[in-house]
Amino acid sequence: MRVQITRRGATIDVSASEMKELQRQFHEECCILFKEFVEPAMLVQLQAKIADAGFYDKHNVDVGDEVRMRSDPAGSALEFMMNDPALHAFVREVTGIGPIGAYQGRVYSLLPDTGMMSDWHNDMVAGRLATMVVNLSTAVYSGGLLQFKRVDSDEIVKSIHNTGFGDATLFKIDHSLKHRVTPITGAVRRTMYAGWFLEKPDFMALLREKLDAHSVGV
Amino acid sequence: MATLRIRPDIVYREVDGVIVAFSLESGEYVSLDDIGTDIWRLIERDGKVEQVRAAMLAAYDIDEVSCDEELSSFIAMLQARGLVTLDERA
Repeated sequence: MRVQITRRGATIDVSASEMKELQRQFHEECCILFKEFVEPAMLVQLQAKIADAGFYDKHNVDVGDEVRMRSDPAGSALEFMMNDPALHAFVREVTGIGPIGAYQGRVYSLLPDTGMMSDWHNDMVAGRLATMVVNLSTAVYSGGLLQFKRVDSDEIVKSIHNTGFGDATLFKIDHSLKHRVTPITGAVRRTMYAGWFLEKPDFMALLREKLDAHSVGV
Repeated sequence: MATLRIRPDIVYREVDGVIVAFSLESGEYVSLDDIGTDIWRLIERDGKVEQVRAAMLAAYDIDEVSCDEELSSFIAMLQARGLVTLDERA
């Protein structure tokens, strides 16, 4: 199986039995981990840009603090790669969600020794269909576990340590579920590209507007 | 023989039948037209300018002088926008 965003577009190579297993994982375990979701060579390029980008403090009400990357080409490149129709079709097949207009996300970090974390929340905002989080960290962090529980219980039903470089988690948005990210415990920052597959806006329409002014050829 | 290479910090794919490229360096999108897309595919496959030129002459109703002018101008545009590098010695 290969599910990867590359500099040339998304590569989706999934057999029928693998698709069945992904669907089962998503619906029964609420979360799927994709190894090397970002093509390694492209990941290096993105990490280099992110290392030079500015970050600012961001407080997310009832969730927690993070540092968020300012507007940067790395964010735009990720957005372009995540809004590949082939990837959207794959995500829809796995999750059973309705038509995807766009994936929108932000690059952010949780810093060590700051208490930064994301407390229990459910991502439930109108128009959000599913969540995807890509690990852009340049070293293996400690702590920073992505955990899930049911709203009516304190039992952790799933815990994922997404430390593989370029690995991604795809998970369910549901009233019955909550998730959190535990604080970083070591000295390495945890940097992620996190966002949602959304009903709208229509990324392709927005892209075509941008391109109208930049069409060139022979 | 001069060789064109797509820079490693370029993200691209086909959108509505033409190549759309995004540069991590400049933060700009570039959309190629049909012929530009054909040439991009040739660069992707091989990159040797002579091969690209030969393929253009075979595919389009164009004389050698016009072909050279158009190709030079297109390569210059790709370089100016940071999409490709041109190695004269390769």
